Amino acid sequence: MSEEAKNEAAAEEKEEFTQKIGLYICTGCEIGDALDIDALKKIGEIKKLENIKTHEFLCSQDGAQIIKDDINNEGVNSIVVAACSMRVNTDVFSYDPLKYVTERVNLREQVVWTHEPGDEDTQMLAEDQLRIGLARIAKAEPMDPEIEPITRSVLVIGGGVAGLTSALESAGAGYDVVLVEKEAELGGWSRKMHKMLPAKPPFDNIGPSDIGEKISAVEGNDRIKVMTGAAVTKTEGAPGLYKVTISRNGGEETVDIGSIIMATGWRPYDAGNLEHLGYGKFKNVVTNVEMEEMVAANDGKILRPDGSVAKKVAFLQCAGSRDPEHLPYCSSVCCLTSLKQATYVTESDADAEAYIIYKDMRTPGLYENYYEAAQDNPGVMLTKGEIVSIEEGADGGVSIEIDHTMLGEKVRFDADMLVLATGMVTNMVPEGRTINDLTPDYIGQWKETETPDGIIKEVIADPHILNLEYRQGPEMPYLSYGFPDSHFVCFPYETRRTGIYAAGTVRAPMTAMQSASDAGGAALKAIQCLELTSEGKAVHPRVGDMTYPEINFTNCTQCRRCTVECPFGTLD
Amino acid sequence: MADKGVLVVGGGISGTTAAVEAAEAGLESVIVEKNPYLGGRVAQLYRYFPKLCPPYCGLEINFRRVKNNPRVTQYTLAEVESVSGSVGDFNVTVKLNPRYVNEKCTACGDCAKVCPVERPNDFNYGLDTTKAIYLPHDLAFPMRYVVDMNACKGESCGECVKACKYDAIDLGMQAETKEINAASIVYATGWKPYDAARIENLNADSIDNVITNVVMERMAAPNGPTGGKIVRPSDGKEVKKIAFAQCAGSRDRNNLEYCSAVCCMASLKQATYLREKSPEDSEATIFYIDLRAPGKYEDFLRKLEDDEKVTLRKGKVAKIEEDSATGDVIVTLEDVLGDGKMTETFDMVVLATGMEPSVASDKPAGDVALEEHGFIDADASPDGIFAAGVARRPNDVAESVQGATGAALKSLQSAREVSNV
Amino acid sequence: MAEETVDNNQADESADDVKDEASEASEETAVATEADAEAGSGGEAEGEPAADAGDDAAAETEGADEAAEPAAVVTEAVKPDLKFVKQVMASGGEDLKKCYQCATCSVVCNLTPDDNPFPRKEMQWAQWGLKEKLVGSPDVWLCHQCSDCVAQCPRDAKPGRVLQAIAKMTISNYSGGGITKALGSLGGTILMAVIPIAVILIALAANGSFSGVERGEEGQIVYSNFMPIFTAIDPIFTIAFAFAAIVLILGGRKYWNDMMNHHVSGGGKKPAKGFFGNLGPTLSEFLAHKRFRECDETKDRANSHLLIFYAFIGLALTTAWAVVYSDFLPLFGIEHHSPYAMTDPIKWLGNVSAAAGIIGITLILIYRFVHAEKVGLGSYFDWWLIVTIYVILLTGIGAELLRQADVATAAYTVYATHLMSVLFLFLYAPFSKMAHMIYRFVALVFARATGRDVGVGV
Repeated sequence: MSEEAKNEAAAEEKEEFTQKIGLYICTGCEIGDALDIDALKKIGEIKKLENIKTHEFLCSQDGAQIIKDDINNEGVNSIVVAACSMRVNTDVFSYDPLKYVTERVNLREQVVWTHEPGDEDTQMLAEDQLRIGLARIAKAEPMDPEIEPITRSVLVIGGGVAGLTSALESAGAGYDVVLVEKEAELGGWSRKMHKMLPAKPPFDNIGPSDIGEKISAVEGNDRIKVMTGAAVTKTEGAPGLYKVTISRNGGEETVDIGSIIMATGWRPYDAGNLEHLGYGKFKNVVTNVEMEEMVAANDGKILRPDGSVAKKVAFLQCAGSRDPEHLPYCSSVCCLTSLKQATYVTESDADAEAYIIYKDMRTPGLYENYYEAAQDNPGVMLTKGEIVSIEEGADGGVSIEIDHTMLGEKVRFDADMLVLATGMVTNMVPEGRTINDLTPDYIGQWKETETPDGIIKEVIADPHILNLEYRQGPEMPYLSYGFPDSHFVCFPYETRRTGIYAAGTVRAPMTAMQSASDAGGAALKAIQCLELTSEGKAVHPRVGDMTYPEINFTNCTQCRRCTVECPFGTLD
Repeated sequence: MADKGVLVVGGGISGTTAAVEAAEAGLESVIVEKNPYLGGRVAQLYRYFPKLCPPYCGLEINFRRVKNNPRVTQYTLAEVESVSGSVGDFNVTVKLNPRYVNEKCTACGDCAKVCPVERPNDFNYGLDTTKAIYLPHDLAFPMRYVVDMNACKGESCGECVKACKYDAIDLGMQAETKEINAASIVYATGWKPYDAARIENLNADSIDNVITNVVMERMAAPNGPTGGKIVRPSDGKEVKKIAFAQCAGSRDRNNLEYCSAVCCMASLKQATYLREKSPEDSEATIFYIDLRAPGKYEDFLRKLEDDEKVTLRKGKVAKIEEDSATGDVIVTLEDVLGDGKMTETFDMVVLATGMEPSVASDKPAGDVALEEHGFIDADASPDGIFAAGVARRPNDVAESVQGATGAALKSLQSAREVSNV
Repeated sequence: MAEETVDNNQADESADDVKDEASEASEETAVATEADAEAGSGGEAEGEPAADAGDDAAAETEGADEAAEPAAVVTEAVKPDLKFVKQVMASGGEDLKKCYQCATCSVVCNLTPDDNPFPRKEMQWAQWGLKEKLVGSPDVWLCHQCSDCVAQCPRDAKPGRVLQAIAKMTISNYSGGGITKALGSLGGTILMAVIPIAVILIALAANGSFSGVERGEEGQIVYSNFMPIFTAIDPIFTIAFAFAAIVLILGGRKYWNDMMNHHVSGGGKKPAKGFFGNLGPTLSEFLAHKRFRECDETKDRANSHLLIFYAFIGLALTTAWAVVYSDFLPLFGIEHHSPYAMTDPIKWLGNVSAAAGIIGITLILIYRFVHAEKVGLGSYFDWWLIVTIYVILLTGIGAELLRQADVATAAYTVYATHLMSVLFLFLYAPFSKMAHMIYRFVALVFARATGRDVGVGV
């Protein structure tokens, strides 16, 4: 249906809808005792309503029948139920939203149950509620869903654990997927790991990565189109109707996309800022990521950057993490990672020793099993402690002084190599930006504009991953530390851009196992977006809502607020 | 071909989420909940960490999604009796226990006014009572009364039946069974608070002013047994000095071996309950082994560290005694960061007990594989069997919801008979 | 802290006595010297009888170093010694690494002082491998193996077992390491048993007992004809007893000195009353077994251990009495030879003690199985002593019964075994769990002297 034809059809239907309001007042549940029902009826009479009825038990079969009869015999199409909360008896007072409009006026919970019965104020409150309800319904019309043919495919940005899993899960449910990865190869960080954290019960053993199988599964799946060495350069449109431009090998192509999963992952905190912990200052101080890569490259051997074998390796937890100067949050995985890498050390040589210095050992849930397993390892020593100083030893090792140990005194000990357990930064934050230096809401630059009203300071968001052609800017807004989520307790997948869902470490620090699990949920949300949009319905949080606003241009003051709010530029 | 749907066992936050998320993606979903209401454990919480927002906010949104979505069917007071079949074609027998109150109920409450019998209120962990006919709680969904037949005197009394203007009470109601065919089953059977009486050295059952963290939630809740006042069970005295004993029966070979992943954050949150109610003269001490505030929760921990009336002390409470004269509670521990062995007296002590998977003690119908602690290992279970929430592993609400959404996806895949990953 | 500076590479248990002795002594001196430097007064620690000439030299060198850099208050490098950790694990503390320092143990223990309680800190020292802190500490012996900590430990790290392992290492350290280590395995024990067996066999051969034993006047079995008292039993057992006693006393003294040095260097005051000043009250507490009664989980052990304890005292008195009969009375012309009549009081004492011993050790055995679920069955170290005591008591009673039943070959065999097992216990008492009687006692006296007492007893 063309835009014009559609508008015409809508206009036609609007002409057809002649409102006829019916008012139904329940007198049960103490309403009748506490209020002057006749006075309430009078309000409807003033509005010249023809169908005003009361019933002592409106939600009973008899009561509900009164309304049905009026709909069928009297042509009532706008139903005002003045009774209890819309929370209750929803199914009793529910009518086809494409034909009828319904308004619930809550006289029970919000009036008679919570105010003095028979009091003048209570009566006034009830009358006001009723007036509000009548006013609202006067403006309401049956829903007229706007249904357009949509693209039933999912774009996944990022080819790490979360991205690969999202792609596989979406394809597994029968949807086409376009997977965009900026590197030449799929796999992300998992490909660079020597071994993976425990991922299945009893969670007490590390094991080889299964990322290779996942990559093959993705590459062998007909529904998944893999684009490596590629980046999204432009994202236009709305759920179901995105047009995404992807650049690859110097060329560009535009694909139609229904919904988007952003699984762009993490990168390590810049250890260059950790000189006070010896990084960059002493040659045998490395980060946990460097350690992982070195061990993988040396096939399990523990070599220092200077090439000699390390037999005593110290791990310093929270290196820059839980530190307002660096990463104020906890990255959740570093304790587990160091326990894992300590195992590498003792696996490399039966006499080798690993020392882990932690603030709090954070291995929540069933990961506790892995902590126990690592504790049992005689070559691993774990101690609480906070760093006092780090010095370089004569043989290129490090001498570490720690305090707040459970020995009750300061101690200093030596190690051949120090591994800094650095944390994770979401890739929402561009390289070179520190998370303590982010502009509010959107990551970008401050811009000062001189206007007749003075200097206006605003953030101009930097394009980075999505390159949205949206009025608010090219990327997702964030709440803290660059993580693109909104309400992460009840609705963890909601970003603040409809149709775009974040999965994995881009939205919160987590393990590979948790990322894979997270990816499944994100795939479901992306699929849901396609399904609901194809029915002309909104997605969460307005799920199922088939209404959309119409602008009364005669009242418009051109404040432009709506054009600022609407991401899709509908009113531009 | 229409998709065969998913059957979700458990209607807490995870089960409700799994069902509505699947339904909104186009799948028929059935929730089977054994309580007379949906919402499970989170309905009993006062606030969520870290935002300190009321759980009912998110629950209400989900209930609205349930109500508005014709693809979701919910059965309360229902139990799965047997499961047969396999992925794509499970046959589930569900027993619908009688509610004794039909859909005509308007929740007006006249019945409870005349009911002569009281029963302990399990929603408030027995801290107060309800009548034998009762509304499970103020915001119960569905908003309908229910009769506890163990307490009710039955038809010989019938006072409630006489009082009901709407003919909504039927004390002769019988249980029914229902056969449901589903392509997959999601177990979102949740958890039980670990029984503190089983922790030998903490005397939880013999000292009045030692409560558990779940009870603390009800106490702090305005719709709870104390109307939101944090008071001592022994004498109703307002609590000013409170202690939280972390890992009470958790990370403990003699009790729950694993970490429940939420208790640290829960205690930090509960410390704010008391601090908010009397900011001037309340004190809270948290005794811990490791403070586990992963991810961004660290911000919440920092907020409490900055409160000088909150003390965080590393050392596990290993002995609890009662001062019989005052009802105060004396805890003994060793502060392992140098302050040594100490005893300290508090108005009340909250045991941060962990979460025990419901299925560990109450094995569900169906061929479900459990790991050593009783959590469901879906990977080791037959195809088409999935787990969500704390039935899967101990985690917080956000991760439960995330896992439940993932389970919805797996159900969608099962239903469409498209091969899994 | 001073004692941390000492290199603890001598942890190797196989190191011979001499080497151990030397290093221990120099360790002591080093500690003493530094303590003196801190306190600003000389003499006090030198009053201790540990130093020989070589150690004086060492002390001088240390002292010179100290004088050269008086202001250097640097944190000396603690050397976490994971080899020592492995040794503790191998000695019976195999679960020590499971500890996550919740300190439940320090709270549930009824025997620990509140100040600086055990065993949490010992668990931490053990995880770091800080041998000096552990081996010179009274606390490992103040533990009476109640096992309350073992039962309540959330991690199943068995702190009591770890303390016992360290206690065992204390024995090894102060009485001579190699033998303790050898006794730590069944093979080693069998090997070590060769000596007492051989000694008894040689004595029997020398007496010609293998070619026939003369019967008594009434035709009865006379064990002193089988194994003569004056020429065989007396010299063998006197030497063995003296050996054990000397080794134990020397070890105990060294242990006392080490504890005192640690105490003083850690800022403690030297107590006004020393070992002998605190001996009396400790002894009376010991005799009443008050500490065992403080246990929650294994309260019943107070009785079983008490029975064994008094059985040993009774049997020791019986032996002394027999020596009087056989060796002293003849000096006055009174001949009163064994076998003694059942009416003889010496028999009463001996038989009652043996019965108490059997009942005690059997109760210990039963309690072990009763408590096994919560606290485990115990270590090889424990079982070594239990089995040895059983063998001694059963062969002792068996020898008496067989003698009266007049089953000659069996009687002699059992009696020989009895002698072998007693000699076995005498010889290895300083190196086995039996040594606990001295080390625990010394630790208890020390605790009383330094106020590290929990107020039980007397």
